[in-house]
Amino acid sequence: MQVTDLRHNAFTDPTPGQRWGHILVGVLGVIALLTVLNLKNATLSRKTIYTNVEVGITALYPADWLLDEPTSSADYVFRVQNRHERGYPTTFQIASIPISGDSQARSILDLLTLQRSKTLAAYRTLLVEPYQFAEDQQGIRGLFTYVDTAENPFTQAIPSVVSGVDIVVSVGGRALVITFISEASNYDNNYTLFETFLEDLSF
Amino acid sequence: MRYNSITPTSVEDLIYPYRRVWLTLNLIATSLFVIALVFQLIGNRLPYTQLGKYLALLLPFILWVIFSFLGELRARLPRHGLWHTLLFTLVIANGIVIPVLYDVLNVPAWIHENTFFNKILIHGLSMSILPSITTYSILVYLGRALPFKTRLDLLAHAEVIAIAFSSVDGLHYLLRNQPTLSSLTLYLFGTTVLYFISSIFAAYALSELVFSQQSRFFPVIALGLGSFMNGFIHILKSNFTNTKLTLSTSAPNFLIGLVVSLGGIIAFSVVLSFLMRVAEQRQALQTSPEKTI
Repeated sequence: MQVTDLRHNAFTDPTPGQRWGHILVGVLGVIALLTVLNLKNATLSRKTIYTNVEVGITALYPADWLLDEPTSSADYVFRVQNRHERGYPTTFQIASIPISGDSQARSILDLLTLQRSKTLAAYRTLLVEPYQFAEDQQGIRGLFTYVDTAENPFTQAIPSVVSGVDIVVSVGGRALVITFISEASNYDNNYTLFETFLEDLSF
Repeated sequence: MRYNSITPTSVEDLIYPYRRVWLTLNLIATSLFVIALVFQLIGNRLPYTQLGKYLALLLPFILWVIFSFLGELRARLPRHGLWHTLLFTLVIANGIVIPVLYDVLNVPAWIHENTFFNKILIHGLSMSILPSITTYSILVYLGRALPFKTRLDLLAHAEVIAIAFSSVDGLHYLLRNQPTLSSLTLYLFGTTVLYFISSIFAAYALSELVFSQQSRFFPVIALGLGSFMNGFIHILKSNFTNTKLTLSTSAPNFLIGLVVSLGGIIAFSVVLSFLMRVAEQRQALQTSPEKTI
């Protein structure tokens, strides 16, 4: 067994070759990190197009999210969810509600609050404010939160706090309610995705 | 205080007075394999206790103390500074490595969208190579203060680094996901093997550069190849342990997945221990005064 005390020449005073070896390992780390970040962005930015001629909307949503085809009794026309997430799946949803000429977008939000307060635990409206779409279209935005108590038979999950946003905009004789719901702990990250979704949305 | 025995020292101790690192490393991996297997078989019948999960989290560390640390105490020439390495790595792992892997890159959240070969590439470039490079850097840094005299000294410290990574990773997993006990032990086995493979490649790459005066490109090549092989083992294991949805059954082949992981660490240990031994013998021949070549 060869025992060599290289403490002084290899670690405290490396040769130029050894020094370069250490530097190249650091460079490899930086390249690996940048490559993976690039692959992450490329993977997460893949999108799928959704078009509904009847309602007149076209949307781009993340390619790996689950598109929920609505039944006749559903109160929405489009819903996608990130089923890969743990906890509450991040949801983008669009509902189309017929309105009369003098209806205010605010009254739609109040109606949603009344309906959800009956079915969702600890439902709170946090903020209501005007919202400006990119195409000079005025809407209204409401922030809300509640506790999701839905049980999952496969996990020992505790109820989770979710936060969300409703954006209501009047289009012709109907109001479009664009909803975003996410686990509160990951709200900020997911809201960035929702902003991209809104930018791509046309109606 | 340490007393010398009055009985004659065994011949084996005179030939090799250190703790056998390859053996203890594989013993830890095998013990975790058995524990994960047992919990998979009986896990669903166990009561839900948070304390039990936190105790399970200590499994890699406890096994390291039993097999490695106590082994060092029994060895004629124990290695020093293992606790320093452990504490230093715990800080680095909790402050840098695990946040980068799970908050910045968050690979597990999006890797599934790729094909098998892309998954190996992504895993190799992230979950495998970054711990490898961190282990390498920690060893280089600690080498200024600790007496690394043989190749296996580096491996012994790399083993501790892997244990620290695995423990911190397991703690983050537990706090994030609240898994069942059986899932936690399965995760601990998978991550411990992952970090063991990363660490042994880092120790091998550094030992060749330092002790064999290899080319400056050697560590990069060794770490790169090692990481892709590590990625291959891990993705193969994940494909087996994840549930397959078929018409007849939805049971996961977790046993095959566990065996793939265990086989991976044993195979890498055998190959790298052989390479290290050959390098050591070559170095001994070169420096021997009775060199005849």
